[in-house]
Amino acid sequence: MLVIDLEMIMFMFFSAGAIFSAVLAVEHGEIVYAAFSFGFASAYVAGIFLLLDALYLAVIQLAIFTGAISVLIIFGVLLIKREKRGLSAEPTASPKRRAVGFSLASSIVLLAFVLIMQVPWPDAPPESNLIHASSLEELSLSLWGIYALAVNLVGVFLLSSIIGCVVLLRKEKDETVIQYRQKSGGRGENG
Amino acid sequence: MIPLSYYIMVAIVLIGVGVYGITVKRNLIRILISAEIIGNGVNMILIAFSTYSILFTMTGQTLALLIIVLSAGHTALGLALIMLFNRRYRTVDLDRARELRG
Repeated sequence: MLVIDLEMIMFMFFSAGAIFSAVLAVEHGEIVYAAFSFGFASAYVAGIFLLLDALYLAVIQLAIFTGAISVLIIFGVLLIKREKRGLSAEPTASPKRRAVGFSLASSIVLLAFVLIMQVPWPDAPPESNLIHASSLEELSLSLWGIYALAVNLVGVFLLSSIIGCVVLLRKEKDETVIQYRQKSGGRGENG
Repeated sequence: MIPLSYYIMVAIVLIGVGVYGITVKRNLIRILISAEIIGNGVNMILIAFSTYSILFTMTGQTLALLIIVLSAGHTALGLALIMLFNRRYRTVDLDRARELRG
């Protein structure tokens, strides 16, 4: 039987906010607001992590998704030149494409819901987990124990992505400076 | 306490919204945002399972932490690629990417 207590009210608030912000992030006409909505959706998901006793991951989620990634996307949007014909160079999707996408997404959700209903899920976490779930010590032991190789690989991936970004965008910068100097008629060199 | 199935349902809805965005939208930045929404849903499922499971108490949280860090990396790389594409073709329309031949 469903009991409405403070935890359930907070869960409903966070989940409704996350889903509404995610829909806004996908459907909002202005892409800057869509990026803001994505940041809000990530913050609501961090609230759900808090309800799951994953305190450290909620903080990481707020710092990386809400802080870093949404700001990165907003900067990316600002650096991309707009087309004249519309806001944020947003091409409109055809009704057929929209219908196909909606039917695909709704069929995935419905199939997953039907499968979820077949399984007797636990109603509450086991008592022993409540002590361990928010423990930073357990998390670090797990990270540097069996997942130490994965952590190192993630570090290598981050390094290679930084180097990749620099290599991808560096060449164009020289070309842009040459174009700018040609446009300004050599004024850039004099002063 | 909240049943585990509620968390999974919310996560599945988030994944569905992300799949809709990836399938329907043609703006590359919006597709990137949709992929991040799917990542959020997957993280929620992992953490919910790790909290409600007796055997895998920390596995889900560890994997979710690694996925969050990986998301930051692939977003930065994806945005760099999108900016490169935009400089070359003056658009962020995915349909123009069909003209790419290496």
